[in-house]
This record gives sequence, structure tokens and C-alpha cells, in this order.
Amino acid sequence: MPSQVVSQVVPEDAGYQGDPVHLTASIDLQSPSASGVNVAALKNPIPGPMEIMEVKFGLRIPTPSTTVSAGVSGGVVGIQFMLGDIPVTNGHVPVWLFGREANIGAEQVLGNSTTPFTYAEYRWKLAHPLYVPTGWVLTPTFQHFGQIKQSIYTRISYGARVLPIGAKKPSAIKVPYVASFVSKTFTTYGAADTDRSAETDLVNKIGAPLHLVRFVGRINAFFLSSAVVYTSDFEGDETSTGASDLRGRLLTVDKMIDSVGNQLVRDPTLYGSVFAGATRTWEIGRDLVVPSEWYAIVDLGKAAPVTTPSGVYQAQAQIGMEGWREVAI
Amino acid sequence: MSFSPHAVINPPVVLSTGVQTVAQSAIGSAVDLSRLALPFRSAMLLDEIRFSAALVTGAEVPTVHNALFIQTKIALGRFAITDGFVPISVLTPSAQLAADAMMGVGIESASGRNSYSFLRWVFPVPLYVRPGEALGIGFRRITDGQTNTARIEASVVGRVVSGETPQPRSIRVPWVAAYVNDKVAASMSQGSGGPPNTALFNPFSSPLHIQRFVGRSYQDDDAGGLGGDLNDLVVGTGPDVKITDSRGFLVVGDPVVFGEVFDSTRHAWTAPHIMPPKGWVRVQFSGAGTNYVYWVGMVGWREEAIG
Repeated sequence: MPSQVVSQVVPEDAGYQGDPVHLTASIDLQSPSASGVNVAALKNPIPGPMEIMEVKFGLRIPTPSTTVSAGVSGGVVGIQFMLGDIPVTNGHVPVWLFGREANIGAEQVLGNSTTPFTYAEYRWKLAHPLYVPTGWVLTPTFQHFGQIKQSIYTRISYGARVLPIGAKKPSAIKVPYVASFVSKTFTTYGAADTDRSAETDLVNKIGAPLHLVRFVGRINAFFLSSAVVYTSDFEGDETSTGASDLRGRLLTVDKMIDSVGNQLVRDPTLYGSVFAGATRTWEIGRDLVVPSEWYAIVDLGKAAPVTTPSGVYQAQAQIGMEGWREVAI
Repeated sequence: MSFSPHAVINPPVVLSTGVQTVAQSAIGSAVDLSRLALPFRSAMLLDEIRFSAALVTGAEVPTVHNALFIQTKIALGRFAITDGFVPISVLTPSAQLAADAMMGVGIESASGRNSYSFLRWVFPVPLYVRPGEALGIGFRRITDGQTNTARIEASVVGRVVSGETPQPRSIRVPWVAAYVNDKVAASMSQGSGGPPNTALFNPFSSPLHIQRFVGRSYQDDDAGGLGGDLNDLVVGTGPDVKITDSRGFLVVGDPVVFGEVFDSTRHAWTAPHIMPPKGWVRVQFSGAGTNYVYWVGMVGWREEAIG
């Protein structure tokens, strides 16, 4: 994985490299529903190409209440990206499966203790800047998965740069690709249970070799009661959703194989070991290329606890697969 | 590049020890090493080890950073990777304190809460493992005042090396030495003191490429148990530290507070340099506060010839 941003068309030492631009669009997503945003707000304001370096997602409950409150995580809203007619995702992917988690304590913040709603913020730093040709838009479509009954105010921003006049137009561009698997809903402190991803989940559907960058493993844990709905992949001071018990004890990747027979995870391994606790990722860390139609199958196991804590806890494992490929334009 | 449409070259792999249980002040049972070897005769390049450690704790104690109290001994065949047992917390900087240690709800008893720690040690250089070989990993737990059993898992993460790749004539093997005070005692932190010259030492006849030093701390309660600060959260405080090396160089010449040398956000000091054969560094402490125990680790690698 490259450790620094390397432009596809402008050498880093080329002097003037264009102007930075920050583009933002938002929508109030009803539960459950799918909707686009105002793509004009995400289009290069200056006629010409641009490069997107990073994408930022923001989620918030717009109407907190003391009686029906909610905490929102990146596991309850999915996003589908298209660059023109080039797919960037395999359907709707939960927003926290883009990129690596960088600061678990800062990505989900409680807004107000008397009307406890949360802000959730995520950042996807692209493995390579995404060249967006003149007139094109990286178009997002959002989906509210419905775990929270309130609407979710959803914001997306592109950190980009407008390319200088005369920048070379590449014949091919590096386009990211993200696929995901969302498990069934486990009863966190209930009986032992299992689930398996399908061949159509963590799959390379782009019809070309894919450079694999990382797997991301989140736990979308819910704490449900009559007054509080909270989803998180973190046990902060304010909440307890069961995410820690799942990551460190109850949830395992029992096996992970790929479509050509490689055993990626051979023996049952704690979920928090496969997807490292500090980043929620399994960084591939080098140029691993998988063929078209390649897929990975994940077998999950959820153990039963010795005792059953009070409270209604449920959770989904959410696993992402990020890579990139070259596309001729 | 040429690319076979049906092949995945050098696929990634995760191999785990499985859950090991270790009682307080005890050495864990032997790890089933077959779990850390590939089932077919291929070489591996290992990039990192991840540790997950759980401990049932009382409901009212703060989150315990288990990595402080669990030690590991790692070797690849005849090549030692750690200098005996070292705390797993000295293998690597802290990535995020909030994510390194987390608290559960109470799944083993209504009054107890599981405390979880996660550590990811990315090797200073990828480690080549010959076909049929595997890392050997053992665990030990010091007297930490918790009577419950610790549950530990280590996972090695790397890639399979294709059979067409020639075996190297030498490999780069990580090396971790640590100054360890392996009992809960206040005396360590009083007055001046520190490891002997053989603690943070290059025992090899070849140079040691040092990557970083790691500094960790915790608080004891003066009674063989744990105090209030179990989370390695000592920030900008602690004793003053002075560091010298075997060549007489004043690495840290004037005593500086512990949390400055091993900065409080990462608990580490990245200091790439080459330590000569039989070289060492010595860390001395002075003017400590009470009841804190400090550990220092040294992480690097050396070149080893293989047959």
C-alpha cells in the first residue's frame, strides 16, 4: 500500500499542482430508504479534470429526544459509488468499511448528555488519487439500513484538487473498488450461532484483475431498549453495546478461504485478531493482485457467554474488501 | 505485468495459536505449533503478530491494559526473536490507547467485566519462514493481582511465498530485548536504578539494526496488587530518565521525564541506528513518583545465515 499520495497525472515535484477544492453534499435519509444527493455540489466547479484524494462521511441524528434517542455509527448507512458508468462499489457498502479506522474515540462523539445523540465521522483516504475527467462526477447513492427508526442526516465531502491547465490526461486511471459482507444479526449474549458470506459479497466483480489493499472488519453492535437505540463498534465512557465482548471473546472468524482454494484464515481466530483492534483492518501491505471473479468466503462463529448480561444487545459483523484497478478512459 | 487469470500470487494468510489460558504468576501451556505452520510446504513472509488478551476483572476497576502483564517468548527455530519472556506491550508502540484496551459487559459473571487488550506488532522487516517451519510462541503472566484466568491469542499475519521463489541465503530476524521488573513492587521507582548492561543488549556477533525503544508503565498498590493506573496512561510524568550506551555516548544526557522520552501518545521512541555486536544501552531512573513500575523495550533486527 502506498504510504503517500502519488498523483496519477501531476508529478509531486512539478511545482504548481492545481488548487485544492472541497466539495460537500448532504441529505436527510429517512428510515429505511435509499436516495441520491445533489451531485452538482460534488462536481468540479471549474471546467476541467480534478483528483479526489479523500472522501469524508458524516452522520447525525437530526432530531434527538430525551425519550427516543439514538446513537449512530457508520454501520447503519450504506453508500454506493459510481464514477460515470464505472462502478466503485459492489452495491451499498456501510460507510465505515471505507479505509482504516484512525481514531476510534474521535470517530463517534456524543453530542449532548441530556439529549444523547451522536455524530459519527469517517474518512477514506484513497490508495491512489482518483482522476475525475472533465464533466464527470463521483456519484454517491445512500441507503439507510433501518436499524434506527429516526432519519439520519448524512453528509459526504471530497477532498480534491483541481488539476492545472495542461495537466496530462491519462489513458487509464486507477479506480478504487470496495465490496462488503454484512452478516445476519446475532443476539450478542444469546446462544452460539454461525453465519457465512456468499460468493457475491466479497467478490471482484469488475471484470479485471484487482489490486487488493485491505480487509476491514467492523462490528455493528446495537444496544436496544425502549428509550435508547445505540449502534457502535466501540465501548466508550457513555455506552456499552457489547462490541468489546464480541471483538475479544465471542466472535471468531472460523475460516476464510478464497475462490482458488487458498486458506486465508485457516483456524478459528478472534475477530479482533483478524481485523486488528487499533485499525479494524487487515492491511495487505503490498501489491496483491486477485483475478476477475475472485471471491473470499468468511465463516463466522458467535459463542455463547457464561452468563447473560441484562439489556438487549444485537450485532452484525461487517467486513469490507478494498482494492483498485486500472480503467481505460 | 503478466498475470494468470486463475492464480493469486502470494496470498495473504492469518494463522493463530488458538486461545491460551494463563493463570496469574504462571507460564502458559505449550502452544500447538502446528497451528502456526502452513499445511503445505511453502515458505511464508510474516509481516506482523497480533495479540488479543482478555481478563475478567472486578466491575469497579478501570480498564486493565492486559498487555502490560502478559509476557511472550518468541523464536523461529534456533533463532530467538525475544530475549526470553518480554511483556507484549514492549513489542510495539501504542497505536490508540482507546482502542488498545477496552471493557466488556460481564459475560462470565454478573459482577465481573472482561477487559480486552489488542496489540499489533508489525515486524521491523518481514520475516522469511522456510517451508515446514513455524514461529514458536509461549506466554507467561506476572503477578498482577487479578485472580482470574487470562485468555490470550496470538495471530501471525503474512503471505505465502510461491514455490518458484528461491530461498534466501540469509534472513532478517527481529529481536526484542526488554528491561523487565516482573513483580509488582514499588521499589523499582525509587531513587536511581535501572537495568544491568545485559538487559538492552546486542548478544549477537553481528550488528543489530535498532528500530525503536518502547517505554511502558503501570501502578502497583504496594500490596502485591494493582493500583489505580492500569492503563498505561502515565502522561508527561514519571521518573527522570538518563540513557547511555556501550560507547560512552550520552543518548539522553540530561535526565528527562519518562513521558517525554517515550512520548505519551505512543509510548515509544523511534530511533533507527545500528548497535555494534555486544553493544548495549542502559536506562537509569531517578526522582520517581511512587508506586509506578517502568519497562523499556528495544526492538530491532539482525541478519542470520540459513542453510
